[in-house]
Amino acid sequence: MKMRIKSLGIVLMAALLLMLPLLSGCRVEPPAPNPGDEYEVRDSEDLDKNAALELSIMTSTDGKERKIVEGLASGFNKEFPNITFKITPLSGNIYESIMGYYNANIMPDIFLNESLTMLTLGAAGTLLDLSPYIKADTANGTFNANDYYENFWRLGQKNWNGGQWMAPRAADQVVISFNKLKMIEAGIDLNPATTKVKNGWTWDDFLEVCAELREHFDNTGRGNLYLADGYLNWEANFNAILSSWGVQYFGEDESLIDSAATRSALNMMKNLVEKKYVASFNASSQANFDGGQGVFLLHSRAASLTADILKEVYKTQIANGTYAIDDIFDVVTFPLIGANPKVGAGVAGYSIASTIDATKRDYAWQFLKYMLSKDGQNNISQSGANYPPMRKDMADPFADGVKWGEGMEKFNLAAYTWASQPGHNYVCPTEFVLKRPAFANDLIFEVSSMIGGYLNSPALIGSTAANSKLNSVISDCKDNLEYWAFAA
Amino acid sequence: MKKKTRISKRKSIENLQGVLFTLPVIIGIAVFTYYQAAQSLYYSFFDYNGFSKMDFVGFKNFVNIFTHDKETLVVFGNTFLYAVITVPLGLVLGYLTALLVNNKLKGINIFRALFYLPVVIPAVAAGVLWRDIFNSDYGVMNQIIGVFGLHSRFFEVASSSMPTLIFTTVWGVGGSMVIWLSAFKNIPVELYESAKLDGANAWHRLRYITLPMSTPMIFFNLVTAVIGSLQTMSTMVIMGGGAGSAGKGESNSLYFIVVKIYNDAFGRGGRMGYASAFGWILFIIIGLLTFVLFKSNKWVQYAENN
Repeated sequence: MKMRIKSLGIVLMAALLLMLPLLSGCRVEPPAPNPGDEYEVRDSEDLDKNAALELSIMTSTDGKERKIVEGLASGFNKEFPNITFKITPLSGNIYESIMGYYNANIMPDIFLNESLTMLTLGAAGTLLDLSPYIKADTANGTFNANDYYENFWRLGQKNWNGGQWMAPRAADQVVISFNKLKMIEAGIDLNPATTKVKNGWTWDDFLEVCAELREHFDNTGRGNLYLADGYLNWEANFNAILSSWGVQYFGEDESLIDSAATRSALNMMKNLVEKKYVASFNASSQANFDGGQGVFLLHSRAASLTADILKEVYKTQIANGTYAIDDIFDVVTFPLIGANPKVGAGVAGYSIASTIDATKRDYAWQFLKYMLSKDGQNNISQSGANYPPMRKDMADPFADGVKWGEGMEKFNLAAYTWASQPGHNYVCPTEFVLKRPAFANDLIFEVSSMIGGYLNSPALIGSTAANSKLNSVISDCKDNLEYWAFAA
Repeated sequence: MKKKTRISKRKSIENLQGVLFTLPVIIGIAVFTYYQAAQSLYYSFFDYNGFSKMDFVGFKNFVNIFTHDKETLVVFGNTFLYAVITVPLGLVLGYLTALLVNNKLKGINIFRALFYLPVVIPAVAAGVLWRDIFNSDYGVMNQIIGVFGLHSRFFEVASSSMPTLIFTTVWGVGGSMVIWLSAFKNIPVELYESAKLDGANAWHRLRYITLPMSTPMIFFNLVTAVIGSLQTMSTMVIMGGGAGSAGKGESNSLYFIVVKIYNDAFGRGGRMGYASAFGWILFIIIGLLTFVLFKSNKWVQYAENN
């Protein structure tokens, strides 16, 4: 009897083990993939303005981004009053989150995206190609892609040159935010007529100002403080610097990173860290610009967000009337390096899921179209983050009907659009990742590691140890770039 | 005859009750663990991106791990180095700590609680804490060693990041300490009393009573420590950077097998099938090591053997 029960148990166990792999093959069927670029669209004019439906939007957990979406929803409701919005938070890695929602068959209709993750999500078939809508609305005269900065508009496209996978919500480019109080304290000339710190200033100008500030910091007991939070291993910054130095990442079938240009660029960056001008992000050291200690921040963050942070730091002085926020900080363009200068850029935006219900699809596009309209772009600014608008006709922040400069008239907001203005064309997206878009993050990580590895090395520039480190990080980077671009 | 039937009937009811009581756990494990494990085994034979692309590739993923992937050697090297050092270190430190707090001093429970307290802190929070403690600019650790004129970059340079990480494993000795304390409590006091009567000193009592009698717990801690060290993950993600491609540490110095599995599955255009294969390789390795440990456990003194 005992033997029979034991045998039965073994048979049941074996059957269960055999069934599990079979059952695992019967997974919940994921939603229908990308409908391609041939699906039918309804003309904007034919849409029922009183249609009642719900659009789900997934956006960042960041309160400002949620406010942006709420502001856009409220503006959109003026034209489509019966469309409601379910806003859900997207926490952590966009790719991972979307993978979870996709497999659970509960994809949001619209979701926050950014130009690098978009490449992999699009390749996985999760993004709706907006081209049919763009084509239809261009034909009926309600949409014109030429209204937008081409350099930024294409960052929402398939491999940055094709079907539209994302509508960029702003034209972010790297600028330098600076603490005016620290500059004035160090005797830096900020007179608009004579200052070096102005749009289009050069790298040499930047270094001269840094030298003066460094001397002042050293003489006032702040020898250990860096001047700038530089984020040198962030692709928007390092790619602009490397590209300005003429660094080539890839040839046809090999990496070209091992070059004299790379060595010069890396030494220039290391020099910034050694002189304590710029804190390397990898070194987990910081100038603490946001805490009111550092002078510069090399970032694309909207001026209103920086203003909010510094208002908190200087709240006592602002409250007692010693300073206004425009006495405390301002922005200026990223310094131009050499004869072929570049300014880093990348964009965030919103995509429509390829799985969206056909009846909702037309309205989801209308929502994105509203976001890209003048009113929508103003709405974004008024929701608390005055990102530079995507529209070329809104470049002047203080022009009539343009609101991204409202309340910030004393700030140099032109710095945010300067690099993309006609005749400048300095905007530089991280294009080397297009060699293998599916491994964009890995390609970026390898270059970032090369920079971090060299900048964090304690050996001083020119020493044998530093040269050896420089050679090894570049050699490793070349191998790794080739692996991710061609072999993985 | 009637009596026999009644007994077997009662036995059957007891068995049924037992099955019913364990059923929720069995269903839970089957649904939330075994099903996923089997599913990952299924995925490991496909070029699966985590979305809709799913092409059968046979054993290609498994072959590529050992013939094609240049990160394989790095992650195996780091993981095994970490395991080889932290497992014995954790066992010895945990055992010594347990011996230290295994006495009847006044207030000893406070020390036991203090040693155990770090174990209840979540790994991610602990990771953030260690990152700040070992920050090269403002970290407490540099201020402490600065007294002796020393300074280190800890996690920021490849050469010191692994030793620094291993140092942080001391954090978890409270976990094994508690298990050993319970083992010590189960050793019959009479053994010590007889040994004392026979003239055994403290060392002899430790060598010939405490150690042999706690070998089952040493074995348990050894097996769980080996498995745990090969599955090192969450703390590294915080210490080594962020999500996606990060979590590798400076120059890949903290790049572990599970971090790679996570990166491949969720950060690289979705190599879910490949990551699943890697997961199964890790499972096989852990299974083999555990098997070897069980086969070589003749040194373990079980009470029933005596």
